[in-house]
Amino acid sequence: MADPISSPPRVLSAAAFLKLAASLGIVLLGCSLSWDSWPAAGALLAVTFAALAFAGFTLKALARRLALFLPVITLVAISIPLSQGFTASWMQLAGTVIIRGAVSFLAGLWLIRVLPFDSLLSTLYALRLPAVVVASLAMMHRYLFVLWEETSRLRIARKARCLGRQNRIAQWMAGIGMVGMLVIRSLDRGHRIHRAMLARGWDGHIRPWP
Amino acid sequence: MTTAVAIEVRRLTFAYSGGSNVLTDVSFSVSPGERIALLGPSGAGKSTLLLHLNALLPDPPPADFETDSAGVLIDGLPATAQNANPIRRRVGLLFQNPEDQLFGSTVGRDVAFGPLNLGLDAAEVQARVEQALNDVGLDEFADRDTVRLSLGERKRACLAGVLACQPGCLVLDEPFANLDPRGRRRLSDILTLFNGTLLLATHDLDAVRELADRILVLDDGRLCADGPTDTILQDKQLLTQHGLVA
Amino acid sequence: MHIPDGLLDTPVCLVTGGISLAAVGYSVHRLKDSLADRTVPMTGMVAALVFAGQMINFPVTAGTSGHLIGGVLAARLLGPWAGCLALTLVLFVQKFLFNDGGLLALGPNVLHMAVIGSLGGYAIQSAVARLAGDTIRGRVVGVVVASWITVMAAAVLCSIEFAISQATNPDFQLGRFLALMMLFHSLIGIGESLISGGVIRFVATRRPELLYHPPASSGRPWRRTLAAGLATAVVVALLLSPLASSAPDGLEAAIQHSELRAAETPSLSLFGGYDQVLGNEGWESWSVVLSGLIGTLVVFGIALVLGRPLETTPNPAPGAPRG
Repeated sequence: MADPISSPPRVLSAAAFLKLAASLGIVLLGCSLSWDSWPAAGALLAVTFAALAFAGFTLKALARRLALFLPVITLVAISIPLSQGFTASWMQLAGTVIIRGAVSFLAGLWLIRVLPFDSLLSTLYALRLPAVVVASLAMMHRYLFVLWEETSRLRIARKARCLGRQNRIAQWMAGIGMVGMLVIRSLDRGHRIHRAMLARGWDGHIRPWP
Repeated sequence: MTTAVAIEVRRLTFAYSGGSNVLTDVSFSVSPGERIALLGPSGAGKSTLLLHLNALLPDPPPADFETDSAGVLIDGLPATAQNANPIRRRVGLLFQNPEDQLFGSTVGRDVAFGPLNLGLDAAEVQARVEQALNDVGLDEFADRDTVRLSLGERKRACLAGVLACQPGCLVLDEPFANLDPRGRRRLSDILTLFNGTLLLATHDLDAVRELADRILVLDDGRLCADGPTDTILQDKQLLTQHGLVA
Repeated sequence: MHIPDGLLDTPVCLVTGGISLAAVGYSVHRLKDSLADRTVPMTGMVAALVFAGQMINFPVTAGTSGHLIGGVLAARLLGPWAGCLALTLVLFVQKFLFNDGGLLALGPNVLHMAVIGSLGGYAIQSAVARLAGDTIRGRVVGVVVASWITVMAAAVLCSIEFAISQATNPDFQLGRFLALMMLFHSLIGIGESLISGGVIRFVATRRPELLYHPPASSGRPWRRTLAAGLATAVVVALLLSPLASSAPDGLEAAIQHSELRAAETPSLSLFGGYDQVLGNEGWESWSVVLSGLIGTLVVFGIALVLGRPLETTPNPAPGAPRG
């Protein structure tokens, strides 16, 4: 369990490490494939799909994620023929990008499903990631959703105030104001947290706690 | 001087950089074990005063117990950045917003933060965490995610984090704000059991009646009244004048 | 800006990853020197802030919208080292909590957004602020200019990385890809400089004390940061060049191929391609010129508008309690 303020002993969980290594292996393997080696790619994708199914992913959930991801990777892939012209090999080039991207995406989905963020942090910490980085990450994780909610509230407040459509300039101004408010609020909050940490004797040293 | 003084504030004047005075010539002293309520309208400078008691603001002019200079002394020790560590061991400060001080991932880990910083060993930390959670009635909450708590539970978890440092003096900033009656009741009961000096900034006059034997009234950065709870709470004119009753 | 896996070769990802690791590692090392007790809460909070800030959409044309990247902004709020770490944390969380971006591509992504964005961006904005006077106004202008330049620099670097990945492909022409990338990213850069500059102006008018103030003791921090940025660039070039030459056949073939077709299309070698592009009349050359020209003009305009005199109403204190 990772925590912003105390560090566990650097003990590596074998299961977590294997999961991390497995997904890295799949991505490395996937990124060595090309359009021409499509049978191998197909096999790898099949393995990944099986792993996802085993991890409890339903077909519907998977399809929804892929529907969000595929347009992005296609857009990236299409930048090649768009710049190089639609030469004879453009399909292979773009196809290679899509295959590699898709394998990596699916492996990433699997990793997130089987390795919770906390376990990932503990694993990386056991692998000698500096305590200050782990603590900052955990602090970010702790307040990420707080700020996210704050952002949604700002959005709703903005919507409530401007009925009907805004022109683009007004929308940009409003967006800048929202990010600006977010900056002010979160820096103030950061100062308050810092103060609350000092009040409990914090001096910048992260202490071990099992 | 022979009588022990827990908190001594002498002619404290303070302004944030570039601003006008937030505190002007504030002086009072608190004996060990005294229970004090700090009253005053919003923006009176209550929070700023409390931060001074924990050496969390730029140093006031150096305080010296022997001479008669201005400043803040905790158990006779000047509350300066240099003395920050011993000062913060003596005074536990509970801030207004629980979201800002509950930064651990679980309640138990958050409560352990203070004891860990005191340099205690694991067994002692564990014992303090259990004791503090027991004090605030959150025994079963050690492994609970800090984000999955009600406001009342959050406040009590924060209080446990402060109590785990075992301070001799507890300073609380608006502990009852936004709490529902039951949450208020529970917190008030915990504070009644606290065995030490208590300084409580609040708007809640019922809680004041229950918890404090002395009241300080702060308005616009100045100390306007200092007296026994009964006397001050009966002075309707004073309370109205400083916006403490409507 | 967020590269998924697949676009860049694994060796390119590993080398850029190594460079990123070194740069972020050095940033963490520098953070340990100064105010360690502030690092954890402030870096964590600004990382969360950049993450949440990226959720706010800025409409471009029907259906498409852009968002903040945040490297320059984070550096302006926290200084270069913590800014670099904060952006790295953002990319890390996006990958491992939301599966956004590639795993191997984390190396180049950190290089493009955290290292160039925060370390490079801080060097540029400090240099600009020096020229324009180190006032709040100068800082806003610095952020505007640095935002655009860092986005463009990242696009150029990304194109070079992609060219190296495509070293064995005789048909690939860096110039064309570079042109497309620069054209596209000059627009993204304009967005970034508008948003970052606007946000810094917004904060500077309300709470100027929240912006990062370099520690007074460290002499001329921007010069050192600039030196560090340049050193990083040189190291990047040095480390990437053997990769390029490790596939000499492909690269040679590419160059020969280009020379053969020099009459009708621009010919390009890896680093000398720029002026050759300019000497031709293909769309690539025009788009590079255009992106540079439009970008410079627009960024100048943005700087002029956002840098107009500010009326500051300084709020008394950082995190002054209300009550």
